[in-house]
Amino acid sequence: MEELSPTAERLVSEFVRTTRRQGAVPSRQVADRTLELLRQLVSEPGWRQTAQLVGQLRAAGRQLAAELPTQPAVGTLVCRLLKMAREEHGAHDEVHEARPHGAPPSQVDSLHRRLTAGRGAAPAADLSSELTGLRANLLAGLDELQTELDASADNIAREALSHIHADDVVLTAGRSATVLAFLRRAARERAFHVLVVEGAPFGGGHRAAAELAALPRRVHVTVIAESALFAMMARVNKVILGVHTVLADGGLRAPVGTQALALAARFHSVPVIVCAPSYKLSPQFHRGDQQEGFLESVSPESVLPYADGALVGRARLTCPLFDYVPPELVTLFVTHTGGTSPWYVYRLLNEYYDQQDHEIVQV
Amino acid sequence: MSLPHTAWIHHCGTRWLSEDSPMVIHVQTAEDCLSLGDVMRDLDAKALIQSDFLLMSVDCITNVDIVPIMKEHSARRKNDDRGSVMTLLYREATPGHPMRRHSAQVLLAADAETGRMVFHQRLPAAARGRVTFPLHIFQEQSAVELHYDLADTGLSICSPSVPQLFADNFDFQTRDHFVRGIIVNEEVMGNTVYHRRVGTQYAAHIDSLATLLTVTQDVTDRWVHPVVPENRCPQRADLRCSQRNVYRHRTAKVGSGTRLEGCVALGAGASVGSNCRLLRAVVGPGCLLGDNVTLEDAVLDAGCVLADRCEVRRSLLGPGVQLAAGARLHPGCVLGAGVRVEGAAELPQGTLLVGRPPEDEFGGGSVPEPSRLVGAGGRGFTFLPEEDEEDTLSPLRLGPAELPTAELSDSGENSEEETEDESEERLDGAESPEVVDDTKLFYSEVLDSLVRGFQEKISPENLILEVNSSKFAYNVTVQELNSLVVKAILSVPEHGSDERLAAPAFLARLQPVLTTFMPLLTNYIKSEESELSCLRALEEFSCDHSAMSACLAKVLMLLYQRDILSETTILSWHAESEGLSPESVRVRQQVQKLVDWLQEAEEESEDEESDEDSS
Amino acid sequence: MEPKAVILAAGKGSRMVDLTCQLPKCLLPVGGLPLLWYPLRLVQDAGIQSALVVVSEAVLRDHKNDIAQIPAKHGLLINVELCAVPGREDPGTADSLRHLRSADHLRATQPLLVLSCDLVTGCALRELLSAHLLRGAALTALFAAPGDPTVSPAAVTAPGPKSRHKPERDLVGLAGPEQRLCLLASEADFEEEVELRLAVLRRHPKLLVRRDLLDAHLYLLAPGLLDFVDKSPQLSSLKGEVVPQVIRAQYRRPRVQPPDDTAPAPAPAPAAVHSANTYLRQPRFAALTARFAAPVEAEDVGRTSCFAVTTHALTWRVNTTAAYLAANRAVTRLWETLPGERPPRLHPQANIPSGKVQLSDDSVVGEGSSLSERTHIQRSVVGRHCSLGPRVRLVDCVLMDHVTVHEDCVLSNCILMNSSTVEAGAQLSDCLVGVNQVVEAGVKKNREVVSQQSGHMEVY
Repeated sequence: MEELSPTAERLVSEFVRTTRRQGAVPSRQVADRTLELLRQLVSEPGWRQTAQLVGQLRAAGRQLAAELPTQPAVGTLVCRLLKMAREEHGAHDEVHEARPHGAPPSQVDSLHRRLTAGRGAAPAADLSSELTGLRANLLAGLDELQTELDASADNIAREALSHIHADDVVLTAGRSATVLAFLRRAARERAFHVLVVEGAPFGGGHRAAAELAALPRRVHVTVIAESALFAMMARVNKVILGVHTVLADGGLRAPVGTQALALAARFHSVPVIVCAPSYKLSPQFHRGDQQEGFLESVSPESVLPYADGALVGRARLTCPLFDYVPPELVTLFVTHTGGTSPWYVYRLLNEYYDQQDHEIVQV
Repeated sequence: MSLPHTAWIHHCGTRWLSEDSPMVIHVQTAEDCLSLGDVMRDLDAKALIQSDFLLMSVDCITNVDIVPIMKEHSARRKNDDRGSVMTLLYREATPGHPMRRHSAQVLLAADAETGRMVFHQRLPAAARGRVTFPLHIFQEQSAVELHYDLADTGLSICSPSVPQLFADNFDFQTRDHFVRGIIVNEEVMGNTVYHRRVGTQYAAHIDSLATLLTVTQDVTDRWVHPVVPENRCPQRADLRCSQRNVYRHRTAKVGSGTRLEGCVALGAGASVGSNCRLLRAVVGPGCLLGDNVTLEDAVLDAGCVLADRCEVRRSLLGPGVQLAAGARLHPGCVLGAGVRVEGAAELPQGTLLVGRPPEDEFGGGSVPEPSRLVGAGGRGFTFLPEEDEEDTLSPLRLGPAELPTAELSDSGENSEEETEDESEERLDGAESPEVVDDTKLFYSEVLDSLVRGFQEKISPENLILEVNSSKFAYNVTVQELNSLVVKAILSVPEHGSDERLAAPAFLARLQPVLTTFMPLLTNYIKSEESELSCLRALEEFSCDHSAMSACLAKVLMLLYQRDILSETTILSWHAESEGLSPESVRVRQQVQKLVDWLQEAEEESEDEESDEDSS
Repeated sequence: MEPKAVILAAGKGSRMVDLTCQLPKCLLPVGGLPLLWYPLRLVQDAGIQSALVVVSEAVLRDHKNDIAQIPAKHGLLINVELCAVPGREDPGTADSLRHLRSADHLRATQPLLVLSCDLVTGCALRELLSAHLLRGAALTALFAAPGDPTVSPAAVTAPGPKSRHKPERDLVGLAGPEQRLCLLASEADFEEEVELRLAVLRRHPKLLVRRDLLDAHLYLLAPGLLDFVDKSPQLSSLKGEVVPQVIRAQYRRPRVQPPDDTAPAPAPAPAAVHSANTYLRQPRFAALTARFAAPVEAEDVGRTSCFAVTTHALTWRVNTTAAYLAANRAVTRLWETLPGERPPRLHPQANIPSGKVQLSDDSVVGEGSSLSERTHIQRSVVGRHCSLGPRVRLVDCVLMDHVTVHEDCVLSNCILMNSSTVEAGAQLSDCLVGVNQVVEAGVKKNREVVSQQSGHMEVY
């Protein structure tokens, strides 16, 4: 089990404290701050060998994921960085060490390799060498990640025109910045109708509707209550949703109420399109014995005001933040590289993260 | 900060006191501070505070974002109201709310626009009856809001001048004294206190066992999010929150058949036996519970050991308490650290036990006996709570021995209203203030002026001015004025004494009065209408006053001679015969002679006039 | 069911004796229209077709025709019934209602709209009526929020000598968004402390006590309350005694109705008092109407409730001389807010030489009046058949009917009553000239009342 150096420990606990204190902020902000933290960890002069860095990052990632289980960005960006570090090391090995050309880098574990390898497990990649320039390369890599994050909304929105056609009735729930960018892009060219589910008790839908109504083009916006969802679903052409986390099996951890929405969509055979930037794609699985805590309940104040003395203490009040949506209810994921079916999410995972690192996100 | 707790602070606060904590903490100890007032005076002497500060006691549990509230306070102090010294924070909670049901109630009145407090009072928890507000608070503002929907949070934002105000007034011992003193002396000292509600955020103040249990339940119910048990655990992943708000540490063990019915927290290493029933219970780290244990609204501190078949209801057990098999604790018990209860003891409601014998302050040598309640071989001494009702700094002020039950008794309120029904009405009827007629007030004022004028020989012009100003003050019509002035003049002789004089004595006294006030009469009684009202006044007075009716003729004669009353008026008055009461008839008979004489005189004068006309 | 309107005009007008000693209060002209026109218009606008006007016997004897012809003469369709309250003394408002009940003018099954004849307001009553009926309220009272301070009586100096009379304020306690009325008392009723029952605060933990509201003395009473007033002879004033009792009854649990509905709780002795709740019966469809009304708390179902409605329209209670002047000064503004046909500001049959007269926009000139050249009239009301000489200046004045003002007079803040005359060159400010009085030429008077009995106002 890797240990964190004292400075790293301090940085990580400071980060955890600040994030907890901030309460409910958009996950994009947390992602930006995570990248900042990673820059600090990489720039820290304490490590020399790649193995040391990898060890530090894994320990940091484990702690962050344990302390902030509801922020996907903290775990996934650490995994991205780890993958970058391993790739750098692998590329360096290829150049500097004797290895047959054409042989795949030793990190990648594929079925072919397993079958064709002899007895004994494939040797784990040796990361113990010191690499000059690794720090600089990783920092550059982090900058690239930042650019990718900044452009993710636009990249996702590029797909908008191929999904939203004129006079479509589109249903969305709550307020998601990615979905709003998606709809805004489509509204530049086409006129369509948007139904916004109000997202009680937090009221995100009202804010989203206000922003959509301010669009210059002729987009008709209607806010509906959750209870009207099933009735309206018959008239909807497609559902476009934002998400909190995309799990490794293609399931979603989405704002509360999404499961009912997805079930209603399935009943009426309405396609459900989920827009997700890359940092929300988590290698985490949702296990049956981990039901507790997945939903993160907050103060029931928005359900029933505490001042109402007659019911407080006599009624059991819950205010969960999230819902789990199984992968079979989702039709399509739209990421910055284009559309993906839920069954192929694992391919994206393999592209972004190294398999050895999947476990650090697993709470 | 008083003594035994200092070390405890350092122990609990390690995380905050360490170097990389975001807060800088100074711990001040003072040997002889017994109240908030002493602490403030100490701070003033040490001159430690230079800016606005948050004052809170250690028993506050809150998730309030204090920064915008402090900014509001500072902005108000700078811009709107230089004299604002304190902003008290309150939580909205309807009457009967669990948070305030067992504490002293807060009743306050504030200016509806600015929130400035103009009245503050504490009422006992089960207050009934009436409350009184001083009238001037309503007169100084155009709209005042009365608040009975607030629970005290124990938080307040203070200006840097607060320690100095405490130092100036040795009477201020608690925050309530301070607030009341500031409000009462607002005009003199120019300081103001404001109140503010914390809105949807949570803030509570623990002042009794019942409130402790309520707040514990609120925390487990996640009302104070993000101050929730799993965020406060050093390793967040170790404490899992499952549905129905059950928190289980990773290392906690629960036997088979145990029901965790809701709002339960199991600490690290806690072990619960089989077939237990836990409802709204907090089990500290390292506790061991046997089989068939029932916990309901109970808080167990670290290391408690409960043997089989124990029952604990609405009680607090300190660290290391041991209960033998079959022990039962009734609601309201508090057992201090190290208490050991042997045998199947049953502790009655409100038992307070400590593990160590209480120190004898006066240095007596006697060792107190262990309480009988703990059974043979047990360990526990009765705790005697302090007598004074002042708001001490002790973190846990124990509630009264008879602890109210969790249920709100609605019937009590309604029955109170029922029985008040009839008797209330009667009381109200008697109390309703009489509508004092303006004319009566005018009459008494005029009478006073006349009596004074007669005794002090005030000039008639001044008396006339006084009467005129009274007329305008009470909006009396002219005719009323005339008749009341006449009646007042007639009342002057007997003013101040209860006895009714006989006719001759009365007349003797009346004559000088009439002579003195003749100019008054001349002034007011000029027209025929006023003469008639004068006569009617005389008549009415005579009806009630036998002595007057005897002298009425003489009085009329006097007035006639002085040309105040003319004969035509007297005759026309006398000729009125309709609707007269028997007294009036009698009065007219008494003056019959005068009337006859007048009639003759008139006839003569008519003859003379006609003679003159003709000649 | 349509409420029965009762307009109380039997008061003596004791706070404006100079005006009411010659004319009954309900006939005092405000903007050329008799004071009673305003409450009648208010009632007619609410959809009520007839009103019962209560006057004293003397007024009924002397002015019956004048009052009865007000609707016809001034364009109202409402039907006026007059009746008198016996006795010379100033009757209490509740006493008048009791008398009307015993004389069978009022039935116990109608809601009752009681208002005072001195209420001049631009408020629309329909909303108040609907709210009252929908909520099944026992009592709904109308209050006026303070508006433009320049039109309030406090901004006006009353003519005549300085009066010690301070305007009375009321403390009104309101709770909740539906404006439950929890407290109504005059400030003068309290000496140093205001007492409140804790039951009120427990039911309405947040209570707003306002001191700046004007009580319009307009009450809508539920049908049972008339019986309550009838059976409680010790209550003589509506506002001072009956209304507070009904407000207090809100916080008492109503007695369970005996199976025999017709008889209220027996009163063994005449002095026994009983709660208003005994007489208030819940309407049959209370549960149904409660659903459509403002949200009703569970505790309120089956209980008496009193409400207040606050209006922001121009409102005056013309019961003091200052209020009378204030109302006249802003009467044209009030007319602009009234629906329907408005009274003419400058009567077509008034003789106004065009171009040579300076008339401000908020002045009123009545029928048959004639102005001469170079008259300057500002914010004044000129009644019928007046005649103003040349070069007369009127500022903030009220002239009643048949007034003659000769040339070169300067009048400021004055009231000239019927048939009075001001001779040439007089300068009056803050004065009141009584009926048939004459002000000599060239005099300067300030803060005086010129009336029959004015002789004794001077010190000789």
